[in-house]
Amino acid sequence: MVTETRPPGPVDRAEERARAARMRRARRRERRPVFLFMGPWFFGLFALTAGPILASLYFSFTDYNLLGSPSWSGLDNYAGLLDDVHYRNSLRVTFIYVVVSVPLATAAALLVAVMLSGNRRGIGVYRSTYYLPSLLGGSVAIAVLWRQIFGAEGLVNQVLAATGLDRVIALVFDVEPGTSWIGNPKYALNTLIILNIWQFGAPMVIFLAGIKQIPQDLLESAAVDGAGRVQRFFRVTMPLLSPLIFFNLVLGMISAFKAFTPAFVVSGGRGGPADSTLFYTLHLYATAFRFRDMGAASAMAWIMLVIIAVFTAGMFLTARYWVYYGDQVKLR
Amino acid sequence: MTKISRRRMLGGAVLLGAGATGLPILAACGDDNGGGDGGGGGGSLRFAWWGNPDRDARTNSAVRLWSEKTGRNVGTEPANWQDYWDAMTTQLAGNNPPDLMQQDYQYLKEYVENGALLALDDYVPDPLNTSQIPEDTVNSGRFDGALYAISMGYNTFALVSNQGVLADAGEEQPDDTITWSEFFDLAVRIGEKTPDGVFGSENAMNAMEPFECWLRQRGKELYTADGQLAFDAADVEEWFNYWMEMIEAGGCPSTEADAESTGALEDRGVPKRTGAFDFHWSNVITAFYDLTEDPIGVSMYPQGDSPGSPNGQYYKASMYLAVPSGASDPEAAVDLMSALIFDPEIASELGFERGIPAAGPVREALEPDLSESERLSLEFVERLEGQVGPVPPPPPGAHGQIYEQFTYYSEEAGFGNLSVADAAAQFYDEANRLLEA
Repeated sequence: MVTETRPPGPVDRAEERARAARMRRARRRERRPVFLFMGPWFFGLFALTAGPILASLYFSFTDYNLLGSPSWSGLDNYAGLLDDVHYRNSLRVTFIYVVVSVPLATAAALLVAVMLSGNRRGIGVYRSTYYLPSLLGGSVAIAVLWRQIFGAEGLVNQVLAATGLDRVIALVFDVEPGTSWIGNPKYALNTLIILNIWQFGAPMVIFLAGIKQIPQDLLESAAVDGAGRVQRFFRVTMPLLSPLIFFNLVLGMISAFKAFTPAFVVSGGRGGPADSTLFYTLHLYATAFRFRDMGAASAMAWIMLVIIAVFTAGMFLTARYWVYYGDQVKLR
Repeated sequence: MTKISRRRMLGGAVLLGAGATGLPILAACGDDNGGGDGGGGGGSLRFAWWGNPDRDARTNSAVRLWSEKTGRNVGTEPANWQDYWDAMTTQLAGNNPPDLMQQDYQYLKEYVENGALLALDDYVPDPLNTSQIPEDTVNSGRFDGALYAISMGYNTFALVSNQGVLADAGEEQPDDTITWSEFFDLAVRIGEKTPDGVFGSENAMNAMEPFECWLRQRGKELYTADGQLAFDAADVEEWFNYWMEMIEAGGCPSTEADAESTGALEDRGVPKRTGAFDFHWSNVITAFYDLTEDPIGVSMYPQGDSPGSPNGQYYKASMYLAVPSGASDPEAAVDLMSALIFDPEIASELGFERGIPAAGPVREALEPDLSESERLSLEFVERLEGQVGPVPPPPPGAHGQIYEQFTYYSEEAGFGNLSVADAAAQFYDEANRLLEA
């Protein structure tokens, strides 16, 4: 354990050993208060985090209505989910939400980050302004605002009507003027996707930092070689940012799988109309507390864990084909 | 250096605090007896209910009167309907229930079956003088012979109208004899004679209360006494079709408009002056009065089309009070409960907000200074005396979930994702599946 700088002679061996023992004792003495101070954290971890997690694993194999005590039911909860039309709806809605909103939100963050990466006057104001939505976005207030904006008499429809665009949309997309975007199951999920895309602030900041790290000489030499802005972006900036793109996609995906608040507020907690905004977590919450079926809800939570793990692993597998780290040399 | 260590100390304190609050919950988890701490004594009582700002204010002032009389503090925990039940189930699971809780007919049976409520028979007739309440109403809180909850008041189905909209359309307030097909024509006529966006009726396709009344007019019910469906898929299909045709004819708002509405009272057509009729409960009359300048009318739900069919109405005991079996001080909780239901001085603070007060003396104490809306509400409910049918059996525990299926399949039909026949059949299968589970 102790690294020796010179081979100890037979004389001072005993002394060395005594000294080492003293050190160990001292270290142990120091360690005691460390554990004491860490105790509350460990208590929190086991009692408030690990405990409930393990309890939910147990509940997922029981029939538990929260009022009585849980009774063992084996795999019934998992099997029951297969019959549940709303469970299938919630899976579909969540997958669409993740697959559509995460790439779009990441792309929006990257685009805005590139636009804001220069050193123009007042750039700080712009950056703050674009970051603002992600501070507000997860909040109940914004979700309530979303109801107002996308309602039948909301801001969107008023603007469309005032500009006459509603008739153009009616012709091109077959959408009746005055449609309630949140009241119609065809469009309700789209409003939530837009809400998620709008909150690109956090990935944008990460991209901004990444863009600053890109060596200017690479961009300059590419420019000397005759690469235009677009080529420089796709040939230099994008590959060098790919680890950050990957990072943001993974984080965005996980948080999109777990999205709850916007759908809860916009749909009044029901995931309607006709299940069109029934996020997985929303259905889980309703199953646990509204339908008092904690067993099935726990089973859903564990399936969600597996789904997120599989998707994340899948992304890591694809990463080696498109993510370049600085120390890798790519030969063609 | 000192700064950092202080912050660490604070962090530790916060964690300790979090741990300390977690501890009793966890300790209670292992306790299957549901004993509570039994300490009681002079500590504070907890009273929880669901409601609205008006109800919260009235209830708080009634509770304050009781506190002044008895010297006991009461912590009040009001919430909206949905959050309330989430909180109650969580608190009961953690063995940390309030001492007194508001209950609903929909959940009573399940709570009783799971042993969550205290039997009140030991407290009858003192302090719970149940002879002041109609026997049917008392019995609705009785399960297997034991009394678990007492109703604070009762309601009945009420077809509430905005008479301003009716006048604009040149129509008259209908009386209690209007039939469903006459109501259909009336709603469509109002839709035609009023500007765009104003309708004759609220879209009640996804509402199970009027569906229940409509079933009772055909000699059926939602559920049998043993918790099975007491109607057929064909009934659901006919009900959905009635409203699909009503939407088509312009008598009520579309499924889309209905889906956008939050269902909150101020969002509904009658107070917003965009609808002439709404299907609701009689205790809502006073709230509608506060929300609109227009005069409000009230009658029974439309009648069955075949002559001689019953009117489907019944007296629904609206809000019960019950004592959870884990209450820390049941004696005091029962005393507060008794004051809120039977004490004319304290109970009259609650007014008609929870329905017509069940206890006769409370009603008499309120009678001299009724507001116009309270008088309308009382007269309507009293007019139906002798005409209302029997109280239906308590709904099974899955009723809440079945109700959501009803809404879901009505939307599937309303948005054209399913044919009406398929939606009705799938709802019926789903409801049966939930009842078996």
